[in-house]
Amino acid sequence: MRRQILAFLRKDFLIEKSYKASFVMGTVSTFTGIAVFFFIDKLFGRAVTPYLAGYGTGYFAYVFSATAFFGYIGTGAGSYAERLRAEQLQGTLEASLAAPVTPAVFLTALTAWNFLFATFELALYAAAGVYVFKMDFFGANLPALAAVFFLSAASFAALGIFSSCFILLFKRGNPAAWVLNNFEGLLGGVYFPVAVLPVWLRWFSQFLPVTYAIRAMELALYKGAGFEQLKRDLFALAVFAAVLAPLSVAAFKASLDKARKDGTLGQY
Amino acid sequence: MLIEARDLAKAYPAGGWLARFGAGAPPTRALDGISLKLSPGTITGLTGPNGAGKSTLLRILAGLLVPDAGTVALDGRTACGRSLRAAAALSQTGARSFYLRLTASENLDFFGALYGHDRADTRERTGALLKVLGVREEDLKKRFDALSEGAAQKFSLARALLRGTPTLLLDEPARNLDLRSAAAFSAYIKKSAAEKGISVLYTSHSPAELAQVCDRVLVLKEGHLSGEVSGGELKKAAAAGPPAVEAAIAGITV
Repeated sequence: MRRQILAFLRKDFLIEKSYKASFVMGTVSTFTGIAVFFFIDKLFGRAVTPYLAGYGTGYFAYVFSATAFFGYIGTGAGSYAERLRAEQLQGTLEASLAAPVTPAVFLTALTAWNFLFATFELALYAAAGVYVFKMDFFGANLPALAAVFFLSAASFAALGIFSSCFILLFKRGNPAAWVLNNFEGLLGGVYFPVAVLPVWLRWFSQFLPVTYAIRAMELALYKGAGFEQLKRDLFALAVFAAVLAPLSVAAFKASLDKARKDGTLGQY
Repeated sequence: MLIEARDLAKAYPAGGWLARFGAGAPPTRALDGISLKLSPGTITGLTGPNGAGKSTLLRILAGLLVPDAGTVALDGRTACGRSLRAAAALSQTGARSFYLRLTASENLDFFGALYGHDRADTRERTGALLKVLGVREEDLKKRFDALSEGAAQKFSLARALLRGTPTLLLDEPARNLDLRSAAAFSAYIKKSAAEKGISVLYTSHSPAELAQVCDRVLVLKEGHLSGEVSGGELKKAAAAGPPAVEAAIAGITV
């Protein structure tokens, strides 16, 4: 298992390295994104501060950490389908799946590079937060934050695996990715706290793991909230992860069997 | 390892979802009641016109495609797709199943690792064949999209042999190879099958190539096995010279 995951990591690193401009542009995009929020804060930051009173921080710090966090857990939601589609288009999907690899190991290996790069981006965000924007993360409750990260990443990875099933079966057209891309950011509190939304939209947000993930992360990071204060959000995330993770792997196995039955695994 | 296929059938639906409701074109029947045995240490040839179902049969035996009906048994025990994928390696023509932005060597290392081999083991397992096929050191360092079709085919063969499976399924292995490389591969695969007891299924459109490599030849037409040139017949024809062997195979493919 370790050898297979490392093989994917090395392969994806070599492919990324072969697109030299891509890495540089990706990193530049991270910084320009941060700069945009910095100036938005200068313009409107105080206007939304009352909604953020519960988090003990201003708009810039809120959206900065939410964007960094969402970028990380969003890797799980987006990268399975993205990587699978890339393998389909290259014609390497069937060849890789011809190896004696279980679906769970294949899925882990497939996105290992994305998670590694997302971790690097998260470290960049953290370094920029501390050294450039002089943000204070020292009051953070690290064990609670780690639990939020783990449960959120597991929930989002499960959603991403569901999303990749559509790619296996239909190649193009991925309604799960469409929902994730369009509604998670809007309803989940990434760019503004959920309290800003009208009541009827807030009702929908309770069905999304991102709502609990962002709120718990912000509270653990800025208010130092621990397991006791976050138990409701952590429980919700644990339920999402416990239900979605096994279901998503089962759905992937079923989709793989269907593609092998239809003879479409090598198609794109 | 003895591979035994019993009554394999496969049809590809046409017309997508419409076909499921009885509309659109009828399904394409690729295989219909195929039964065959691949014995250890023997090379079974498979020929037939385009669209006869050869690649479908190979993909089922490799565990990459699930048949609509029938079973495949390994040493007498009915096998699932996972067992078949572990027991058989398929070599297909073309560079598309490789990572075009990686070098040939990096591709072999990647697939070697997927099969559980470290880099040294991969080099050792592929080195002899690549040498026999006349692959140059510089080809190993070339990006895959810069390789010729022939060189890509050589690496496809190397990848299949790298797995060290007891069964090899070779789909037109000599395609795109120059004459010297094709002859060298024939000799190599015959020796490997005999020495290691590998069961080989070898497809080709060339009677001369099949006659040179195979212990017997099966003919597939419109999803049915329509004929066979047995080992005895091949030997008898071989005694009369290569043209007689080619004629024996060509005779039943018409």
